[in-house]
Amino acid sequence: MNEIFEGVFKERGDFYTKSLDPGHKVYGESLVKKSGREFRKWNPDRSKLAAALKKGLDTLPMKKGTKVLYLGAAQGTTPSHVSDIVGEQGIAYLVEFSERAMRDLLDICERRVNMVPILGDARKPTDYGWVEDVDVVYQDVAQPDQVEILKRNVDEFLKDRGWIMVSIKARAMDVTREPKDIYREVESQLDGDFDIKEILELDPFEDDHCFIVAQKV
Amino acid sequence: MSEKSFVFVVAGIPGVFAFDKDKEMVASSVFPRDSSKILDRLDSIRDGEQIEELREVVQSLDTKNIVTDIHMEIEGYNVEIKDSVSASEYLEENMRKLSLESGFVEEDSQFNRILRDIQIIKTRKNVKSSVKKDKVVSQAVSALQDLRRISNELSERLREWYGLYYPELKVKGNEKYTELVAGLERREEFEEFKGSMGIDLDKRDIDAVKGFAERLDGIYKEREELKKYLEDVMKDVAPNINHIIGSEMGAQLISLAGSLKKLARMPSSKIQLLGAEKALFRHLKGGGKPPKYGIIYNHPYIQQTPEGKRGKAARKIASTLMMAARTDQYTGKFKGKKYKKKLQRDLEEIRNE
Ligand SMILES: C[S@@+](CC[C@H](N)C(=O)[O-])C[C@H]1O[C@@H](n2cnc3c(N)ncnc32)[C@H](O)[C@@H]1O
Repeated sequence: MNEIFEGVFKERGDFYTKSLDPGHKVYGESLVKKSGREFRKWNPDRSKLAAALKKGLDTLPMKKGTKVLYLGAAQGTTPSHVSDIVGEQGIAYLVEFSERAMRDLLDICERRVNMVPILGDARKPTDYGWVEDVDVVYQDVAQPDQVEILKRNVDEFLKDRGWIMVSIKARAMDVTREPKDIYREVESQLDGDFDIKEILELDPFEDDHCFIVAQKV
Repeated sequence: MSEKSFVFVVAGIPGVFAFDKDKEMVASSVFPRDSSKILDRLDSIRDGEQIEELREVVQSLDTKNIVTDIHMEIEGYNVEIKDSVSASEYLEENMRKLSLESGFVEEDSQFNRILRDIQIIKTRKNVKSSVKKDKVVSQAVSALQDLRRISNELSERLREWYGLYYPELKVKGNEKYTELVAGLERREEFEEFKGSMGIDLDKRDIDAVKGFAERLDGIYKEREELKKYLEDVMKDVAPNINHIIGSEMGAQLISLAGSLKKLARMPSSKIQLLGAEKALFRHLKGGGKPPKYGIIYNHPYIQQTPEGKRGKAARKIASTLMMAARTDQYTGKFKGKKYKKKLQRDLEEIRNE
């Protein structure tokens, strides 16, 4: 296992995180034991962050102790790997408005001390205004107004020089337009407030998706 | 009180705190490191009880003047109760730091754990009561259909009315037409305007029709909002049905069945006919052909299938929906992608037979 980022490992083209909850799977991923430690294989078909890594993501602004606000946590697939990376000293605030998804997510939060569930609408950050300032806002909500949602949360919670990690689903934003046009538009909407470090298309893992990593200026 | 010295007394997850007017912590009494006990304490405070930690903090103060958002009456103290005090915000914003400083926790991971435990308890309470949302779905989809019908009707009226003034305006789509009329003052402002055979209207007449168009435009916007809302709720209530047949038709099926539970108990032959009750009734009374399909007939799946094979296609769709409804009702797992792929393959086969 090569540690390519703090807490992220690579072996034979596959990515892994060191499990914070050994012996347990979150979404059917395979578990690998190496020199007394357990690693969870990170499936790029199930997690857009893993897909971005596969596509050569160079900037991962997360490590032990990082505080993350995660918008659109769903059943916790990617959040569980984020939880592995930030460790017990770090924390992930998980916003999800689907009650059905939340039921599954809660079971995972029970097992992981750094996953804090928030049943709420990411469009209304004041509803969870008690959340502390964070190092990273991660967003994967697949909504037409996702840039607006992101900005509201950044204004409320992101530290100076903090990071955003955003998955853009072109079809959720406008089915009639070319994905590339949409990415360019998102880029220009972020420009000025953020220094865009990376923008990667996620095919063949996800069609018409791109992943952006940027730093607040 | 402004002249004399005073302290703020406020409470939060870590315990009860007193701050001076510069937000220096002057006293604290921390709660036990146990999430359900903490929630109990906070509830008691809200109910106006004088819990031990509160008394402890108050007694340790060297002033008798207190400003607070906690409902308390204490003999011998001058308490000013406000709806909100800045110190509460301060506590919230610096909760992690204050938790460490006050000795509530010894390190970050303990604080994380407590925050998580509290959120789990609160969230569990909120998701418990959510399964019955299928009634909401039924209302929302009916409202959406009402809006569609009404907006069509009003659009026809608008075209006739505005057509008196500017009959040459040809715009495809009622929504677009409405938006244009609502947005401009006079026909001369239209880009494509090249004179008109329409009658001249004065400002008052134009304002009236424009006002009508503005309201109608609002209805169209509302319709879009409602569509998005329905999509969101359907993903929650019936993610599998939603994925296979779309939020609107899925919601209609739930509505026609009466509830998700009833839909999940129906044989697929009945699901296939949902929405065809009238035709079925006619047939049973001795008139008309037996209906082959209900509202699913309107789905592109069927529309893309040649006439002679539609009955077979409808049966396939209905049986997939039956499985989806059962999964939604009984396990809540998402298997929509798998179901949909299989359905598409089956339909492809039927078309090519
Ligand atoms: C594509 S999924 C996220 C998958 C997840 N990030 C992962 O990789 O494991 C999008 C999620 O965002 C949620 N969502 C969409 N809009 C939201 C909003 N306004 N507030 C909170 N959650 C939202 C949806 O319910 C859905 O669960």
